[in-house]
Amino acid sequence: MGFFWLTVKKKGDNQHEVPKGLENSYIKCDSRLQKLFLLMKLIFKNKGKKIIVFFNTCHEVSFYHKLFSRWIGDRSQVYGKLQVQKITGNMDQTKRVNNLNAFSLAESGIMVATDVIARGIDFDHVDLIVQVDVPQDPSFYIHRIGRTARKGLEGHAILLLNKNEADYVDYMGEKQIPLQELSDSEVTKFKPAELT
Amino acid sequence: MLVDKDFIIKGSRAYVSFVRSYDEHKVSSIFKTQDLDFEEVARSFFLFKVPFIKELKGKNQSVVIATPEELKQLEAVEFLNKNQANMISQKIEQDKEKSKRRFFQSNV
Repeated sequence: MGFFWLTVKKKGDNQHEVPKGLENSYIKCDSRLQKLFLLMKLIFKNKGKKIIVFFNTCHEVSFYHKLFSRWIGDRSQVYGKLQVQKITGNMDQTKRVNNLNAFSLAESGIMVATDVIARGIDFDHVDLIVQVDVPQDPSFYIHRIGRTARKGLEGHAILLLNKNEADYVDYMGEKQIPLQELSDSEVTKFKPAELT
Repeated sequence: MLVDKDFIIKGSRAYVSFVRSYDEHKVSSIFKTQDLDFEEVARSFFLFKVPFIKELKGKNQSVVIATPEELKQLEAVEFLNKNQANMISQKIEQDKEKSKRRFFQSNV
């Protein structure tokens, strides 16, 4: 009988890998209202693209969905026929499927969503992901940003942080998910008065 | 916001659910509810008057941003969709009947 050595390794430190084509950044805001203004600016700048906006709860989604669709519908000369879809956990299955299909088939559009579509759903070429609320569970951050930069394509994920939430960047750094501050001065240094 | 009462109702619901979700955050060392500025949050839901939240009793959460004149205007705001108003009043009556029944049952 011979001996054999059994080595036990820690199961990969890099369990969650960030996709290669993904640009992962954050913006610091002064207040929660400024988060919304920044979001409107981001939507205005990327109006020909596909955007997913993440909130934490269903009621928030239904409120902001109504707000954005009205805002965009009133300004059809600027935005054209930009569609705003929503998806939450408390909707019917048929409605959910309809909204999902409408978003994935469209060339441009906005999806306002909770964490129901944070994992396991594959859209074609989503360009931008905006997280207005920080996810309750840190592992959902990775699921959320995984909706973009699929199949070797490029993508962009932006996290909006309040000034008292700034420590979250260091926290994610410890989990080996590096975040850079967004350097696009056009977005970060604008005044809300430009919007209307 | 002074167009449709549905905005106000949805907004106040969203405010409550946001504050609750913030309270249950897993990384609570960074996201502290006592650091949350309720007035700021209310502004982001475009609310002038904030509903009371049971869970946060004792924390200073009474926020009224509007002036008395604005509050009068707010009360006058109606639903754009008239069916919705009817639905809600029906629902309130149904709930009242239900609670009455429960009351009788518990007393018997």
